[in-house]
Amino acid sequence: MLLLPLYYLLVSSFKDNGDIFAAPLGLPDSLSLRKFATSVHDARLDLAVLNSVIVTVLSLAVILLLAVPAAYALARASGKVAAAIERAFSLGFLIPTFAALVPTFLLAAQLGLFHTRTFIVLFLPATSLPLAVVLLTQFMRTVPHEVEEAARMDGAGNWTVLVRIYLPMVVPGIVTVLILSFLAFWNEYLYSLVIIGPDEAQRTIQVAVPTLRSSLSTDFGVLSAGTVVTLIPVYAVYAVLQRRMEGALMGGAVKV
Amino acid sequence: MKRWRNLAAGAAAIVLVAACTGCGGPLDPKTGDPDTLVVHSRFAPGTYGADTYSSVVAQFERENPGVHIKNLYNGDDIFNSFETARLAGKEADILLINLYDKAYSWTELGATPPVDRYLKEWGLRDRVEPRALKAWTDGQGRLRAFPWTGFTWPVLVNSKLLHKAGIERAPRTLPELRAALKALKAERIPAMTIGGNDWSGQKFLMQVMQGYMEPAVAKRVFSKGGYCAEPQARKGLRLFGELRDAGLFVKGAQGLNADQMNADYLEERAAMMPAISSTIAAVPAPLARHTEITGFPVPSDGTYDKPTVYNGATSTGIWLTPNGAEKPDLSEKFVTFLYRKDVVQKFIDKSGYVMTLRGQRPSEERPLVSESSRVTHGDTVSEAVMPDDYVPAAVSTPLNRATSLAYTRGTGVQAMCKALDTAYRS
Repeated sequence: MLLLPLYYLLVSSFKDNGDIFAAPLGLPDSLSLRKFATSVHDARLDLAVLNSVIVTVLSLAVILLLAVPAAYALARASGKVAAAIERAFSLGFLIPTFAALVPTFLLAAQLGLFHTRTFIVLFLPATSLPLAVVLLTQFMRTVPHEVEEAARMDGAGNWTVLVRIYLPMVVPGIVTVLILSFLAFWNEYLYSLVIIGPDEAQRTIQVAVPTLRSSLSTDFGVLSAGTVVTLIPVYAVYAVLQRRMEGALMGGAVKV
Repeated sequence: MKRWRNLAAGAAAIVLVAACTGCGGPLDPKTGDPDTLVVHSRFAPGTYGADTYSSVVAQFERENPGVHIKNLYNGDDIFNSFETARLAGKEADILLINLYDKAYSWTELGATPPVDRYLKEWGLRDRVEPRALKAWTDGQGRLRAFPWTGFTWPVLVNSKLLHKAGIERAPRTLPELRAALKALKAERIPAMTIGGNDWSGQKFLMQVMQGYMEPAVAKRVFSKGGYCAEPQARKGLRLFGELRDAGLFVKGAQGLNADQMNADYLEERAAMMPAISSTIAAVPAPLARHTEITGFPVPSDGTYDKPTVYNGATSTGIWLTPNGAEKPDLSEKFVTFLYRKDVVQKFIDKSGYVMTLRGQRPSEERPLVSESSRVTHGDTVSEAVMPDDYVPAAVSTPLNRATSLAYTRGTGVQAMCKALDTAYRS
């Protein structure tokens, strides 16, 4: 069932509208890559992919930079303040995407960062931070205290304990956060459309692909090809990271 | 280890610099290059008319050395995209967009300045057809934008398929239409294709309904709703239901959209289709040779005495924005260029555009579009009231959804009018 939509997109990328509507799941007559070339050329998907990579990679870096130390602190703390902060992070799940749109737009305009990727690079990690912190905190709580105590006795400080002890042991958690955040950042549409805007030089892939669609008439072959182009990085990253996550989980299970 | 850290820091710095490239660049017309005019449009490469637009922009830049046109493209999000940019004061200088939906309120809200004085000062007033000036002028007498393109929206009839069913000519009366439906059904030829699930179906439903609606009544009902309470609307819906149940539409019409409708007609899987001029321009020459253009038959005891078509002047207009008004010389150069006879003729010839400017000749390369203009403005058809000019912006999308129900076989008048009225309350 999961492969069917991908199959439909793929075969549609080689067909004209008439063939797509007449036999949606039928095989194409030719395997010409013309539709792919047209979609990349017309919507400048080459630039859009580059922009999406820049936005996604930087946002992932920011989220790791913020979430890992926060989760480390929360996992080791035991006071009421820490519990309240952890709950505050959990409350982040309750904010609907649309509710934050207007204030976010106003903030971007006030900061002079409207129509820039910079604002989105700062904003996207904020949307994923609650999940990342909550997830990583749980993973870090599974690290045995004995290991940390042994490191302390050897003279390790807070940062050394985090980098040398905790980080290697919570790789599955970090990979999980990376996968979930990558999918969210790569597929983000609304804020990218509103904040970054329509400039070819800056827009992301999710904003570029819909320009291949028109209310009067659409070449669905070209649109499907463009959609396939957006999916390739998602499938590639998912395949690579998922294998690593499974490997790390298995390794961690044996150690514990 | 240190080397790796330095490498990572260097890479991060490069990416950060790349990320910030373009911040406050040409998208900020106030602080950007004064010789750059930012134009926001739907003419994304690959869309209808984009090639012609691209070539005339190149021509403009050649004729005006040093001047650069920065093009921004949006699909259906262009209205929202412009509005947020306008709120931030970073909107494009010129907009090429139709008068639809939210755009009706822009001049009144001050989002775009009226262009009456520019039209006069730049010597363009005599170029515009009076009906276009009227269509683009708001209730306070302000011209919202420079009128540019219009549309025709007749019915296309595949005469080859009709002949196959033994029908000599496109039906012009309801008895002729009913006879044609019977003959086509006997030959298993779907009569009319339609996007019953989107704007194309909504417009056609309103067109058939107007068979019994006087223009003043239609304008009132389209503006405020009240389909169930209006006897003329109910009578029109009854006619629609009768024709639908007699087999006017292709199977599953309630789930189709305009693209599927176009594909059905262009692949000769249906005998008729209501088609806007941009679709007519896409009809390939072999099919165009056996395509007749006409209006949709009306009842003999109805409002109109001839088959109806839609016809409008509110397709793409050239909107000046507040940022554009601060660059009057550049804006004037570009707008007057787009109004120039040879440039307009290129759009007519190459892309089959229906322009609302005077003194142009019909397209030789797109004869079907020329024929649709001739029929639409001739004396064999009547012009129905265009719903878009009256339906409130917030209602148009719910109204499209409500339309789908009307295309479902067996749906009664009460259910149809109730769904339409509900759209006005959503």
